[in-house]
Amino acid sequence: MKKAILIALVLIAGSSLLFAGGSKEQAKPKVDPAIDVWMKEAQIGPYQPAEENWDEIIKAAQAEGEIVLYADTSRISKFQDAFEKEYGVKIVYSDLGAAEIKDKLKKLQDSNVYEVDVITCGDTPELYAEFVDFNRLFKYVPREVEAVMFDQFKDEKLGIQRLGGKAIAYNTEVYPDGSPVDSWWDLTRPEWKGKLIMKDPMLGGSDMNNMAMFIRHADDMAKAYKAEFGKDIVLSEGCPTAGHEFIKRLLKNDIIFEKGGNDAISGVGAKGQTNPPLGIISPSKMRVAKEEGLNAALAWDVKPFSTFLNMTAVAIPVHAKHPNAAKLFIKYFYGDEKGGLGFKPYNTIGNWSVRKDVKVPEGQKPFQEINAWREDGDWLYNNVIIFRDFWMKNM
Amino acid sequence: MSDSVKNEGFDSPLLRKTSRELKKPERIMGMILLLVLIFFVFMPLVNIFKTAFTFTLSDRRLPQVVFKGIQAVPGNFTLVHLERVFFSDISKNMFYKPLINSVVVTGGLTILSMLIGCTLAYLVVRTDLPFKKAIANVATIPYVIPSWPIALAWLTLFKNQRIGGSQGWFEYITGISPPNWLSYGPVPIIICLSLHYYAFSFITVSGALASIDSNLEETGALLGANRRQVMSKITLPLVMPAILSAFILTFSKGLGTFGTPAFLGLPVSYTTLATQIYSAIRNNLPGDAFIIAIIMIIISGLTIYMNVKVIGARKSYVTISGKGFRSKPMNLGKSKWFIFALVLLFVVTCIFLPLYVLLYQTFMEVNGDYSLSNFTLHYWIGAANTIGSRGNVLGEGQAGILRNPEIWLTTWNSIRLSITVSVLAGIIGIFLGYAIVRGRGTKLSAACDAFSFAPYIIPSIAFGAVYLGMFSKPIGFFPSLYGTFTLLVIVSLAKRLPFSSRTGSSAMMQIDKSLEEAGSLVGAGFYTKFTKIIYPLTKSGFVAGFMLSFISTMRELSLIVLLVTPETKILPTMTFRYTEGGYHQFGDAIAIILVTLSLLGIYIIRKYQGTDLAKGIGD
Repeated sequence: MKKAILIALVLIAGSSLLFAGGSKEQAKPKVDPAIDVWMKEAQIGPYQPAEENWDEIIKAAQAEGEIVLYADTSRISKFQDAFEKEYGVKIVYSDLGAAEIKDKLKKLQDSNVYEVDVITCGDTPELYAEFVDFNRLFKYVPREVEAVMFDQFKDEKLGIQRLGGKAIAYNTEVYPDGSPVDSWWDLTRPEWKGKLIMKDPMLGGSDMNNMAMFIRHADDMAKAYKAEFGKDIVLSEGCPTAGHEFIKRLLKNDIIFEKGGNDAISGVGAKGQTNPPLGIISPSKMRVAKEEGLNAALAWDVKPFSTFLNMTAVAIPVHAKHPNAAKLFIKYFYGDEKGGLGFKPYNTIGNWSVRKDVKVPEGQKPFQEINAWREDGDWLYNNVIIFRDFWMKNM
Repeated sequence: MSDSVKNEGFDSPLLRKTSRELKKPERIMGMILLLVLIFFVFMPLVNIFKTAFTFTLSDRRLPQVVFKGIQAVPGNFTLVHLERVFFSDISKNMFYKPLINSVVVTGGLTILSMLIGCTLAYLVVRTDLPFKKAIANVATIPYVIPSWPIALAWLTLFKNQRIGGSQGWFEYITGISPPNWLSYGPVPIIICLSLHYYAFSFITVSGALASIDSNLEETGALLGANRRQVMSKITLPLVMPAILSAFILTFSKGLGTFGTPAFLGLPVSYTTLATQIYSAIRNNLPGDAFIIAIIMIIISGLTIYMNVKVIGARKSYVTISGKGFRSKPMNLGKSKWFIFALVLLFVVTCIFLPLYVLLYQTFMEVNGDYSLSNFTLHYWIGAANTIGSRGNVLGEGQAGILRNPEIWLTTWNSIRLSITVSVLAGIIGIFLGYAIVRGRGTKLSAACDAFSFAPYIIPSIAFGAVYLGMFSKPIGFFPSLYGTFTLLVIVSLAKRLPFSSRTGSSAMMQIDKSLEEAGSLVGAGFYTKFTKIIYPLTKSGFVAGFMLSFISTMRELSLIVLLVTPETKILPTMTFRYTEGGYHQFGDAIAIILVTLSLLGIYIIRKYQGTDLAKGIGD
């Protein structure tokens, strides 16, 4: 028996050697000459010309013939035909979750498989820190889109195609006079114990990032506490900031976690309830609510902020084989000044364009008029795991 | 292995013995299989171990790294994940609590589903229960349909006001709000999963029961044994290997299952190890995830070991000898119709109701409205941009799935993947069973047994990720397999090895070695013996393994989600994306196609093999 264990250990040790050195995740590399050649050829990064010649790009894209796309959205299919017909460039796309896109792209690149031309997904913190910083992904925003983009998105490490949110939703049948809460601190009151429903942030996606933003804006939370309760906040043990204190009290208040976001909206908005919960819900779910005749609305006047803002990025992976087709796709994906073309499927309640010239969908305020907390890529990357541990400790 | 090492001198009898040993077909086969297992099972396992004990890029932001000022160099050895899981301030909520929950849920569902599965198998195969053939045919359905309709049905019946939404039926009718323990948490999880996983024990045990010669039982009865004695002294020991296989399959599957426990457990913060693995992977902490996965592998291993010790099931009995064979159903007597009524109730509530719910959802214009005015065929055959009765565009303008050109490609991919995998898995299973059973007692046999079981316990998503890393670059003369159909076949085969080896070896245990020896006496080579003697006799075991592989490959998702490309994607990947995107009707419609294909597959297998259940059932 001992011998068997020994043999097994030797085998494991031996095989580990086989795999050693497989990872390319070393310290941040300088731009490798091969990448430089590719960037020059593709006219990406520092080589993106100040004025782009779209006739040439379209011609080159047609010669390339197709783009391979990984997207965390299924709405690509709504404009795929139109795009292919207009340009004669085929879109070969895989509809994956953001976590799968990142995992798959990294593993393929580590194996020197460069099949992907464009990716688009959420969770910018990791995209920035593990992809952009390691020359795995490159930013590309067409010059004419850049010209009409809101300034605050111009410096993001990747092109941001649209914004989404997460806000407090309530039942309009039981609360016909508007939201029963006007501060996030309300959610820690005993009357809302066991009456807040949300997708479990532990399951990944942008939700844990959102919750971590309470720490990022701890000062605002302290002020909001004073405004709500009329006195300064007293921090309990293990809570260095008002943000931590808020999360601790929120978790103590018996949150109801769901596996998906759709369950939350129907929990809040179903008809005929007498004691409905509140929900933390993506504004885009209001479309579902409308279609299914749910009585739900979002609280747009909450202290210290009304909604989280999450960004969806679009980028070109290193050594992409069809860079011109990729550029053409990205331009289309940003849409035109009417919010049409590739942006049309997203020009609905719950999303915001980053273009100044696109009109906000009816029934929705422009995002600048909303008091919002935007996700902060680099800060979140460095802090979200520490925050996740804090969350788990207080669960 | 040890025989040849010891052979240092010129001791010719020993040499002769060694070479004779090596020429035994089970040895040769065992060697070949072990090599294959090392490549496809052991190496991924090593990779998981390695990830558990090395830094990844993402680990530089762990509190244990940041606050202690440690340099987390990716690829370097570390114990930080071990520390986090076992000895940190999050261990309680990350590991110990979920561990207890997992053991409770898995233990409960294993016992309950074995009870259901074995009882049903016995009734269908060994008694004169009315309509038993029809019952046998529908009894596998719950495993084919996705598990969520059962969970959803549970919530529709027993939910209370905790999660908001419309009232549950129980509360609506009785006016009493069900307590939380009935609505959410371990009780509903155990019940819903048992109704899903009893198919394992049903399929394997009915396969074994079908091959018992009822002369054995009658002999017992003639010698004065009463019904209970016959059952406990004759029938039970004979099917013990199959029961054990079913136990192991159910337990390990239950331990790793994520969907239903998350759906019914999260509303009351009831987490299991599988939830924690999912969470860690989703949050880019593969180290944490794989430490927990290793613990799960150990738990399963220990459970299997204890079972083998306690039940002593390895003491198997030969049921297939060269003599005549007949199977006579037991007379249920007066209670026949009463039992039938119970079984019928079970079939209707646990099989047809969830199926009906699933089907019904595909005809609903919007979710949650069960009235007839909400009926639509749009999600099946509607044109793009159809306007619904409420004036909104249905399915966000997407056409019905039967008009979606992708559906045909994906359906074809699903069919060919399931068939290829289940045929190959069946063949490998028989070989493995042969090597394991005939070489019993040798280390080679034990190694084959252990390795062939390992993939089952490794979480699918991790297994797929490891394969993507391993096979997207060339290994030696092995070309890069990324994007190929072959890779999907290999990974599914590897993951199905436990089915194959379990069913293969429990079938093989029933064959008396004398039959094979008889073949040798008349000069049959190994190939002839295999095709003329072994395969025909183990066909029912083979078919059971084939069916399990077929069904589960058909609905596999997390294993292959990273490995598929647009050209090789299969139906479950479409279901998943539709459901994630909130297009439940489309997702459900594809699930219905999956169920139909699986049932069709089972029907064809039964029809053309003419074996397994049908043999025991008679007409």
